[in-house]
Amino acid sequence: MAPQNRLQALFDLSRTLSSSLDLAEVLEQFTSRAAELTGAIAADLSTWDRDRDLLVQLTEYLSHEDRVSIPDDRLYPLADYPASRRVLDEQTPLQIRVSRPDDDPSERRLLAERGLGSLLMLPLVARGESIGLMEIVDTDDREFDTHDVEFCQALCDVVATAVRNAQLYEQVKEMALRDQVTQLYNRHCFEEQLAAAVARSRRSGEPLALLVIDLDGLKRINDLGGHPAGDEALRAAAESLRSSCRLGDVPCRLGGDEFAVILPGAEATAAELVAERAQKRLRELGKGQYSFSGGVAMSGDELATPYELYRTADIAAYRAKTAGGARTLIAQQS
Amino acid sequence: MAPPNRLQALLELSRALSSSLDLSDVLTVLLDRVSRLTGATGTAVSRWDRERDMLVTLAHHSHGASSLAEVEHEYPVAEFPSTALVLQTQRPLQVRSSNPRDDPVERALIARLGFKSLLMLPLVARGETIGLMEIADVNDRAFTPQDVEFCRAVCDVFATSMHNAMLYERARELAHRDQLTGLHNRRFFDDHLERALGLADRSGRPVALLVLDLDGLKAINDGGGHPAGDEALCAAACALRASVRAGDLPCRLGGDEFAVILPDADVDAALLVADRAQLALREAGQGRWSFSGGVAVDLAGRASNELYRLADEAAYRAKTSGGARTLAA
Repeated sequence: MAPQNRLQALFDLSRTLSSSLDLAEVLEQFTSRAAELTGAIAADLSTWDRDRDLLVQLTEYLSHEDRVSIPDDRLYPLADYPASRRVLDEQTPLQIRVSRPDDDPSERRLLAERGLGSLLMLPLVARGESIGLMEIVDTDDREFDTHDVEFCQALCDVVATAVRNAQLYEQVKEMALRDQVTQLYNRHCFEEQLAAAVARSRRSGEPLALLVIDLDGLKRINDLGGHPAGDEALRAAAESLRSSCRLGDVPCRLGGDEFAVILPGAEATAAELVAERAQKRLRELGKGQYSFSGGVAMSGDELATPYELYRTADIAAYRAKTAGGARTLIAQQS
Repeated sequence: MAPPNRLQALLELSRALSSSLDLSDVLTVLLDRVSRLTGATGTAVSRWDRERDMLVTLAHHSHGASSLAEVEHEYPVAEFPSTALVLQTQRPLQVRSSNPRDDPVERALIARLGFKSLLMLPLVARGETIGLMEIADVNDRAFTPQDVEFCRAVCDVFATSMHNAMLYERARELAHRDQLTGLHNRRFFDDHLERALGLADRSGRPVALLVLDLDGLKAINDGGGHPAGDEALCAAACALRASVRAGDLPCRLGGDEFAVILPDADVDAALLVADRAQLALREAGQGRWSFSGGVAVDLAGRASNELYRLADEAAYRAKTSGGARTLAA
């Protein structure tokens, strides 16, 4: 591209990417223009997960939506890729060519496996920190000249800023949905999710179970050990629910000693099973000190609104509590 | 500026603006550059509050000095027909004091501020008008179509960043509020207690922490279900809000537990706030509801969790000695 066109292209990219705070949208916008902008066949983006010291390939994010479900083969431990690590640490670009025997062997192997000839790795730097990599690949065994590299660095600046902003926005939005003590979804989020689940179940005819849970004796735990002890019990309860849920179940903390799990597609027996697993796990975590009282209700003609469903499960949980706690009862429904 | 220079300038502006999601950063970046970009002597940026149909000035740059608005000035849009037109049609508009056909309200306004010409531009993000940029000049200047076009491009770039910053701020605000009572939440509390202690350390003035437990929430819940509990919690939040001093930070930590961070307060000041809150809550609940409170004060050096532990222990002693009272650690 001529310099003036490059300037225009950079400006257009900057405008497009900064007009969204949604990571998937930002990636999509970049990916759809990457080949045209770089003159290579593709540009992959990945973020640096510093805690786990991994590169997470972001373009996969597009097809998977949920980052949790990124398959392991899209996660690259940096320990295995010294050249990538150098780019991140030193914040300088690096070229790899399959034909050059002195270049990093692990990168060359990766290129050869994919039938590629050359690679330009560039750091994504936002506010002075490396947040990931842009990898521009080509089938030809070519050298990227100084102008190409400079232009690609300018692209990286634009992309890095947009990715960072989207990540920050996502983090803070996610925060608003979570209970701070347990990191489960909070009551506000529960109400929205329950309403959506009830509507879906009524449309599809799939069953929907709701499990409401009260941690037994939270008041006594608080009184004996202060709020830190209470928080510990709440976290144990959250962990027991998290580890007992099926894929697609939504565990929430409603406040105080009260939790709930939305179980789409579950019959009462399946919900009861989840409750039993959680009860057992909670007992283990608390070395026998903690238990909960649970109640299960099924959505249906009789319990058509989210509130009725919640109310019925809550009453069953209350009966479980008055019957001595540490058990789960299924609401009697005709 | 020549077209390539303008493009370069726009790109740089876009990059500088998008490097932060904080509205005051974004405004500062704009003010730093805007007079160089537009050649104007004055610039003002406002947010359009549609619900109240007000223009809220966020920042201005005038005769070489810029400032972020510390107190937000508000203008009812209805009183400025030309401004209303710009916001509604999303088209720029020029006003010159020498042109008798231009809006007299605007002409009077710019004359009062020492300007002779004004260019009003809508700030549009994702198709919606979110505010107004006003570019003023001390000279009786006619903005050329090229000037206007360039200023529009500056506005577009700026509006995107302003919109992002506003979205981010709203999400942050939501993440730091307790959804039931609207008080600050525990996340906010953790951040701000730390900060208040740091401030106390530097200023040498004490910070007090008041921890309050709503008495008998469990009994209220068991008697009247969660709606009754929610009612008591909201009443407690109201009582706190009405009783704190300006600058105090009332929070709900979760369950039946509340706290107030009181910068620059000693034990007596904190106890006074607690007494006022106790009284307000008793009135609101016609005697049914009360707090058990604990106060701890620190000058400096102590870790925030240590201060919290002291106040929480005092609140616990208040509860075990019958509740409805506040004790100092």
